[in-house]
Amino acid sequence: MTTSSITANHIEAIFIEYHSWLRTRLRRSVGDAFAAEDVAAETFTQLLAAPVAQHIREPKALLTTISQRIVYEMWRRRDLEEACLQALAHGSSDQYAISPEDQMLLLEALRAMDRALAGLSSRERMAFLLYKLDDLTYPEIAAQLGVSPSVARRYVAKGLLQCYKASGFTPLA
Amino acid sequence: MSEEKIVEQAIEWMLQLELPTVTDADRAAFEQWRTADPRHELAYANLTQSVRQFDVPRRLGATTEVLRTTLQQQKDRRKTLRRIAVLAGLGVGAGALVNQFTPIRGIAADLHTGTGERQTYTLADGSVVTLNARSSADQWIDQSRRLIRLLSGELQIRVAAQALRPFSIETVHGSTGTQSGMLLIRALAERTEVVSLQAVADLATLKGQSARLRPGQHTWFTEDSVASIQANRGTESSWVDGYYTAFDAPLMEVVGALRPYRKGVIRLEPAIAQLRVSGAFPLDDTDRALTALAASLPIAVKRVTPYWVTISALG
Repeated sequence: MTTSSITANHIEAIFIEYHSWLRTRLRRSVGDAFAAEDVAAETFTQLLAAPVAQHIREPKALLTTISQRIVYEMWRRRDLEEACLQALAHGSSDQYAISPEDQMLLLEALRAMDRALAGLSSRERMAFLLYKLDDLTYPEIAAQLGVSPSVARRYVAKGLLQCYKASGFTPLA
Repeated sequence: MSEEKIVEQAIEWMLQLELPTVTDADRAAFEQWRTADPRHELAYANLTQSVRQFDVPRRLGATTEVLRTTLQQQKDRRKTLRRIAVLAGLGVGAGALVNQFTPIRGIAADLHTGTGERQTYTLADGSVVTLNARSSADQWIDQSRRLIRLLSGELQIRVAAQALRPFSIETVHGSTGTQSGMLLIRALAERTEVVSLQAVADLATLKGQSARLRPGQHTWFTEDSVASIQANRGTESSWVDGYYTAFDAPLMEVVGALRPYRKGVIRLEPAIAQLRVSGAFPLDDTDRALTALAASLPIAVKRVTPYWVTISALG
């Protein structure tokens, strides 16, 4: 028997044993059966793809950890989708004219921003967003945050560095 | 020069060039820096690309306030995870806490079936139980009582007639009792479904509500209350013969019936969950059942891996 089939059998056993347990737990945290089913499905898919040891000692702990990450991401995604719709609706005189393409573009951009800004402090993030999204000057940002313009500039620079790092470029040759 | 240093220089240049007071001398100096080293050029190009997404809202004419607020609300992830953990009643990654939960019932249970299995048992009193796939139950048959606790899944039972010792089938929502006859019980997370095939059955919810089912009737109950009583269609027990029979049933129900017969995951897109389906689907050959569904509905069945099947809207 190959390693991969041992793992697959093992995960299959875990699936049989814990799938409904996980779904029940998830229903309590996400509130609806479909989302719970999806998160459970995604959890097992990720478990299957994960380079885990052949024997999982604490399946419940592992499944809980994986599923929590997925739930968090799901909630975050919903927040971002909501924000996209609102931002486009406010920017448009006719809210029915919002095109699906625009929604998609904005959502993708917003997700990328969300990832890029993950490592920043709240103030750094605010400074960076005021600079990039709202085109405010350093003195204007400084006034909003109650810091000096040179500190505001440093925050923006930190934000740029974070964006660069989050993009995962290959090292400069 | 280190990579980080070059990136920092590129950032300084970008900020310099974006100032409203930028001069031609600044631009010339930047050009000199940029062309001095291919790594400078690459770093600057990378940097430009890495912030491109921030121009999208302006390009689309979106208001920025709600975007800013949402991005700003990026909570401490650990905090959020803790909140979820409380909701789920679990400590984050804490093995010790996990152990406090009910021991794994499946394999420890008296009667147990895995994926794709159906099993028929004859109990000590002569009653015959057939367990559907991915189901488990404990049984206690002795002088004083006849009891099955259905822990998960579905069973059909033919209760051997004994007037003095009624048979009781319990789930987390309540119990179903009968002196003789044939019953189907399905334990779902949120409710228990009972189908009387040939039995008079008394239902009692955990909170004390009760109802009586006559032969040919079915209903469901939660721990609080019993739903209205309906007439059977006559195909409720077709799974015992290896078929799931649907009459104008939502697709999610059919998929729900196939799931215990398939190793891995069947993911159903919520948008098509309510499509109506009629037909008989082979439980022991879920590939064939899925193909039959795809042939009769506007859906696409995609096998990502043998373990993971996705059913989505066609097109």
